[in-house]
Amino acid sequence: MFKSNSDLNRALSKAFVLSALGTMLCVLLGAFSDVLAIYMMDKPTAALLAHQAITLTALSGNAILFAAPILATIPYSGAFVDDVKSGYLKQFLPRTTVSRYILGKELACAISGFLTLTIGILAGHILVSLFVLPMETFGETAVKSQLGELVGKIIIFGFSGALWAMLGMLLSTVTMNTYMAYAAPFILYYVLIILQERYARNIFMLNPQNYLTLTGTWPFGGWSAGITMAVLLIGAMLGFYVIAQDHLRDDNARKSIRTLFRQRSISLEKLFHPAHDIPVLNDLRQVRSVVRYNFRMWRGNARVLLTFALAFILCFLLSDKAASFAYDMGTTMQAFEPFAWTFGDANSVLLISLLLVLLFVDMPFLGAGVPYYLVRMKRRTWLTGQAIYISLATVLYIVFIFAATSIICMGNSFIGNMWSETAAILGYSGAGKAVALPALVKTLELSRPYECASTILLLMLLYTLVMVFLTLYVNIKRGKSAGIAAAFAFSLFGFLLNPQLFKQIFELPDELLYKANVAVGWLSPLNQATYHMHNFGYDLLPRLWQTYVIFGVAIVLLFIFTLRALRKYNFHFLGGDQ
Amino acid sequence: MSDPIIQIENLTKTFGQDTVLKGVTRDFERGKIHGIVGNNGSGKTVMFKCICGFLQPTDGHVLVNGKQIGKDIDFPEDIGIIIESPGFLPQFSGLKNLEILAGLKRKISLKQVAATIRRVGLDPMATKPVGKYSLGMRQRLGIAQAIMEEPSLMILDEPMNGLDKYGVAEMRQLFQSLAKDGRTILLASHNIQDIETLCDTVCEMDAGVMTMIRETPLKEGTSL
Repeated sequence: MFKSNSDLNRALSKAFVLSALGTMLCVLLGAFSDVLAIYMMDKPTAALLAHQAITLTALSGNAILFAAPILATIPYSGAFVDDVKSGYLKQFLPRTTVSRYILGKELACAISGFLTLTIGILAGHILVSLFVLPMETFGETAVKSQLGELVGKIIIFGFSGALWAMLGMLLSTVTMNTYMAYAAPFILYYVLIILQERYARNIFMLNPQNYLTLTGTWPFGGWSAGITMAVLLIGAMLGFYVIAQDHLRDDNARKSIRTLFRQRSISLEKLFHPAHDIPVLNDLRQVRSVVRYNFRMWRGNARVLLTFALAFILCFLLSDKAASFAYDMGTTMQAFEPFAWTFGDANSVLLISLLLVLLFVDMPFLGAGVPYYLVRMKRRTWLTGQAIYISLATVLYIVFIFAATSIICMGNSFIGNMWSETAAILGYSGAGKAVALPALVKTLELSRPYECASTILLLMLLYTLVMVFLTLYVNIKRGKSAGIAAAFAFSLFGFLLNPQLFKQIFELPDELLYKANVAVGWLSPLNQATYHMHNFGYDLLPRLWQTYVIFGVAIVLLFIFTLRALRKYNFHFLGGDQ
Repeated sequence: MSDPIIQIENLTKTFGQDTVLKGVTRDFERGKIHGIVGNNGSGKTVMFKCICGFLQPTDGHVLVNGKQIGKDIDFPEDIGIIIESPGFLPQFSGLKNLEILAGLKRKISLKQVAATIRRVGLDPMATKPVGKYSLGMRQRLGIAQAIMEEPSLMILDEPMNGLDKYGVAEMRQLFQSLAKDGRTILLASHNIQDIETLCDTVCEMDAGVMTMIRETPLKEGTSL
């Protein structure tokens, strides 16, 4: 036997139970509205075999389609990297052979992925049946059982789970990073959806969701989807086999290839320019060194990669409304319009800024190497370097968001600096309001796409910088957890402070709602970051320059407060390499 | 004491309800190797961090070369340190890592950096990234970064961690030669033999209280 018994024991552990429960929850979420509709009736009744139809509908719901690639990877996809990094491999390998070890890992991973989704869906179906079966009544017309279709769907979900779990294991082994086991399949899943929906609508097989919903013209229905996934699964298993074997048997071979590329002649003749006589110039050079040191830590950093990958996916999800509207109307868009319509909305700005917390979660970046450069400079020099680093990283992030949103929708856009037909329809017909896109007449008439997009970019950047500097200040003053809590509190404050709440608190009549609008426009940082919540010449909302000044002053003040707080700061360094 | 390089006065450090240092008062003389022994959690590393300026004392103060840490200066001006496990940028070679650190003060050339790496028994021309170093190699590189700019004061917390017996012997010789050149070394170690053979004075740290064990170098054939 392969060592799959012990692998299976590990794979089907607590994480497996939790993932299966998560899958069940997704099914229940998808079925919730249908079940609720039955119970909301005066006399709750349902058609015969309605429980099957409800579960089938739930399996096409957003919850399960969104979570499936993550849930399948949780039980066992990170196991190989965990074994290598923890040293458990050294205890395990002498008791088996390399091939058996790898096959055991593959089987356990694929089986756990398969069972996570199938058992979870079955559990969900049983619960749906418990709620719906007692309400089912015989009707006058014959009802065809959908049991075969349901079983087929569950098996397809199982294959999908096995495939994503295996891909997680493969990608984590390639990068030798456990987080990649969970994040990479999810990212790949969405990248494929983006590619198909935005660039290659005809290639339906590119979209992994189409395998689960059986959307498209599959020649043999579910069989084709199942067989394709089985073939891909075998491919992933082969890939993992080759890479894992390479890692276990001949790790030095790979290293030597890498060093071949890395070989450079080293000259020791290099002399450092002597320290400047002017202390400020030395400080500036040290500030630059701190910034470079922090950016060097990006190399091979899974968290940085994950932040940008998730930001890319979030851009796709948030811009979907605008892109789908243009697609449905058969009209084009100006290249920056998707960005303007997506991030002209406060909620989008909020979501994308919160994701940045992931990039700065280890602020103020006190790795084990930091004491060595800290004793070679002053505290304020170090903090200035950190401040410049977080500012530059934030600029990079926001520019990435801008580029990603524009590129995702580029298939259907033009570059000229004029509003598109889509914008005109959205703005002048009221369709924009109906689909909650902030394409307002005042935006169309008082600005042009380049100007509008760059203003939104600047507003987003300043808002995000205020949030990041607030996090830094609270982090230095009260500790890491408090810093992250401050970022969330800042976002929550902006989110909750809306005109309706303001109106309720001050008991304003409806005719004075505009006052609440104006007050919130000034008081909420999130509204300050929202383009259309500004004064374009005919109301009392803040003008754009006033917002720039407010945000700018806030950033400078927060930096000064942080400098003061740093005097009493205790440095607690993390262990290991950066 | 004629010429103390470090003067610690009533140093107290509290984390929440836990008092880790309880009014430590001690002067450390220039040009000697001072050993500090103590169990895990006795407060050695916290005291070192207070001397380095990484932790702010709850009470009392530390003077290095007559300047108060946290008031006159942020960190001691001429110092080399190893505190806890050495951390480096794993993707770069040892030479590149030290080049980056040396570039901050620009007191020495790259040749001198390479010579220091050679002095601790590593090959400066090796392209192997630090991420692939063994624990012992990493420790040697940590010692190299502490001594490369020839600081007058070195704070070394468990510098022999991960070294084999040859490595330990080499490092003992290195520290002795540094002390002969007039450098001051504060050395914390669990290994009583390191302390016995190397140190001119020995203090013991126990539950945040420091006591002097001996103030003069050991004579041949005696032990603590």
